[in-house]
Amino acid sequence: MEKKKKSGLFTPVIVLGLIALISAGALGAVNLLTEEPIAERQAVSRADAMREVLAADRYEATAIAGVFEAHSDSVIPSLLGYVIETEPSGFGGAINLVTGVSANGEVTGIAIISMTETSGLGTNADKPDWRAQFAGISGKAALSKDGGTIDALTGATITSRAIVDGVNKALAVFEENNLKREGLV
Amino acid sequence: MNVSKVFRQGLLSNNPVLVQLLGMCSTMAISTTLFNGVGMGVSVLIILTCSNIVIALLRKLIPSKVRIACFIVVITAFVTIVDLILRAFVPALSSSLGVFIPLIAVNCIILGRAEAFAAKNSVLLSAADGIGQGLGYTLVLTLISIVREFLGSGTFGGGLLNGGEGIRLIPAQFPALLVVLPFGGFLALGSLIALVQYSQNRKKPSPAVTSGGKEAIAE
Repeated sequence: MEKKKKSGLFTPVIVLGLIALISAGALGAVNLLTEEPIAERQAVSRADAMREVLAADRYEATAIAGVFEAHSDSVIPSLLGYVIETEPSGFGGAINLVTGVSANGEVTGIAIISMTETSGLGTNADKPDWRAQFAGISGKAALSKDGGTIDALTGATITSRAIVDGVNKALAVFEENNLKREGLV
Repeated sequence: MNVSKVFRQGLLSNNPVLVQLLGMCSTMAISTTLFNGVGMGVSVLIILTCSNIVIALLRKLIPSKVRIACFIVVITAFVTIVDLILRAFVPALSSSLGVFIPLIAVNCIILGRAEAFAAKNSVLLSAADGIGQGLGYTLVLTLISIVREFLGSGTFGGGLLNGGEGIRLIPAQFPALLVVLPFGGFLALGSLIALVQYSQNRKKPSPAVTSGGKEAIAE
């Protein structure tokens, strides 16, 4: 790669600048094309996650950030419970978790929208069998090695604790905002 | 050098992982299930081929003083494009590989091939090199994934077959979790490298074979 020396400072700057400019243009174009499908996918996976943790006909955002009311169209009163989003920190960053809480304060289910946990270990948290352990818990969840009822994932205690933490945060939000409605469910 | 020779080199005799010892980090981190291994391999194959072609096209225009910066800009552009496309159209793979897709930008196979090959050879040869090296990488990832998944989780085709659970070959209580951990990655990769070096060296027992690893650097 020996080029003529006379090019000096200008040529490298211009060439690099042009390459960067063209790359930026290409990225902009691809972003334009993929923006909509990506947003759609995210909306769909969030909706799927909500339906999974607490099946309802409608979800309505509340004044509290990350808390959604789950309503049914066929029973009166229509409020079934809440879907609460939390972001506990796992082994590889924030885990985007949704927890379904029934109107009387019981966890109905949990689902993970996105996470960056260790592939093959922490990502096992998404397995339905493991997540099912959270259903029916009220008050506070804990791992069995911490004196609770949740069995930690093999080789992924940090991820397991993070999920437990996220569920507890959701239950705390539920408690703090007096969302409990006795006799509804 | 002809196209088919350049292509074949990447598969075994100048394999990026087994001989050049490049891209080891991603190889060990990602090779826990077949789906991850193949997905990562194909992503790298596409990015490597595209960046090789573009860099070979531009090789006469790029001043040597800023060549690394130019290569990196081209490579990161392709990585971001692939990342966006995967997120939009193959979300399962994107969420499974997570941060490892953006990290292909710093995968040394891609910069290594740009500097060692594409910057000095024609577009056609560089494309063949990209495909050959990419397939070589995919091959190694697939092999290690299968072994680690079998020994560590007791399944085959996790994330892909049987609704993502994989086909269970060993009952759940037996597999050695150790193999899925980074330790197992080192062990599996080391064994494979040793095996390939042994079989390569046995074929031609001349003194020249001892430089198997150096060929790549000298190229």
